[in-house]
Amino acid sequence: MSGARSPGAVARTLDRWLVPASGVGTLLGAWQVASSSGHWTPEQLPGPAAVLRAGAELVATGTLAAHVGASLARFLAAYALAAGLAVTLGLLFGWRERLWRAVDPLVQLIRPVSPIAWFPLAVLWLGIGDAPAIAIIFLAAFFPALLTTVAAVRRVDPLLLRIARNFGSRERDIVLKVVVPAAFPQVAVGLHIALGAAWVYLVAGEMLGARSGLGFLVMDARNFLRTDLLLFAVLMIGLIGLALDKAIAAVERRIYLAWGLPPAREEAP
Amino acid sequence: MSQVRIALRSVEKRFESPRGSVTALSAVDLEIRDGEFVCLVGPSGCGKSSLLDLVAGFDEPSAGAVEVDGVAVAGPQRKVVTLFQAYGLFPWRNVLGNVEYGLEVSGVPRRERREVALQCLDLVGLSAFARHHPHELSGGMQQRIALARALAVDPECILMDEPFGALDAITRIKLQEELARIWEQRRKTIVCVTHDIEEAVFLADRILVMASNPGRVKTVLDVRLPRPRSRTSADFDALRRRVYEELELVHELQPDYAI
Repeated sequence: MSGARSPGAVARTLDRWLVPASGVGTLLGAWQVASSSGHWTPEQLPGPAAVLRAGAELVATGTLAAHVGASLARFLAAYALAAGLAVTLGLLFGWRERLWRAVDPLVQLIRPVSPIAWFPLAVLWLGIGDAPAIAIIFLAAFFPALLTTVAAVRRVDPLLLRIARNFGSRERDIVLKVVVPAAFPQVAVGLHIALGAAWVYLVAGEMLGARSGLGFLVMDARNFLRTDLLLFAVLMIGLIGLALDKAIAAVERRIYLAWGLPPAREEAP
Repeated sequence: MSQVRIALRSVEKRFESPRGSVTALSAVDLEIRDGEFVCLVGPSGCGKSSLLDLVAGFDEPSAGAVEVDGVAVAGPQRKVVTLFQAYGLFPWRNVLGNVEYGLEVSGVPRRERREVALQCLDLVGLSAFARHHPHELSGGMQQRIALARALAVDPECILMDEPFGALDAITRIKLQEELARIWEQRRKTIVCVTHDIEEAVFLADRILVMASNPGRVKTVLDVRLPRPRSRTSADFDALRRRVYEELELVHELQPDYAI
């Protein structure tokens, strides 16, 4: 049974892979045609093969691994810091209604400011290198995670809180054994959104004087007019971002399964 | 066994709103004895759920006193556990974890609470589902787990707010029978709000028929039918008819007289 597939199943599998592949294929084809059209010089628009060769060069020298490692280290440090702080504060603000009313205007004021607007201050206050990059990624991740956590806590089913009180739970137990797990699926959605936002600002953060990382690689390639390297770096940023998104989506699905909730929508915004 | 468990003395409950004050309960005097099974029936708006909330300690009376074991109710307490129509199981905990919850937050050691929880699950006939999660179970099973969770903390009273209201008719009948059996075994004081008249006649020692505007206890009917009760006996039917009369619903039942 398992070895022999019905024609219908084969068609479905083809459909599943061919349709998404067609988009990528079209782009690659258009890229190839455009780069060999002679309208642009190879320095302006290298073809897919040249970009792959540049990538092979980076891999061979071990440079790629070093840059990816540096980026991931910064990213994970900033993201973990942002997620940890945002969830902790979100729990506190969501649970203490008056405290949130005091903090809310402040959050609403700072939140719409793009992390990029903080560039000059980040450099003034933190110098150049790792610290400003981490600060920028932190800012990008912190607010979505904080706001979804506050909303999640405030939206915990009052029936569950009633029941917890009925069984004589102390406040500490209500928060840790009811509010936290009840809010967790929503918090996970927030952390997913925050992850995407943080990765987007990684490159920006690494342009603030970092000497390593994918953002630095982009800047470095630009300075040496190595468009092939630049495009390869862009490709890597996209691929790693995609992988991170898939990884957290898988974690999210497991949480939803354990909680008995319907699977979350496929993609976070 | 005739000790008074729950007492309401001249209880009044008003809800204030910008449009004025609504009297949900007016001049309710009531004593419920230990081990008694009391059902509250009445039209919506008669204050039956408000009455339950006062006994549970989820709400305070506007006037009068609500006492459990002679002590004024000051808030929710473990010895008066409420079952809700929506079950309220913790979805992230498995069945056993749900039943253990009350013992866990009162500091009962792991081994002991597991033992008690398994006994209670056994009592509701769901030991085989200890490791399942609530979402894997039917509504009827979830309510039985909620009952096991309540029994686990060995409360004096169990309050039920339309506990089987969300279930289909056959499941409801099965659960009523199970509840009657468990009540005979454990002899908890039970106060059950229901809109199902047959349920009240099947389960209750006393039926409190309530009326609205303002919410009040209109009639108290003693149910002296032998247990286990047969829903098809003439006495059962007569009493059911009596409740319908008290609720002034008989005129809607003309077809009953036809052949």
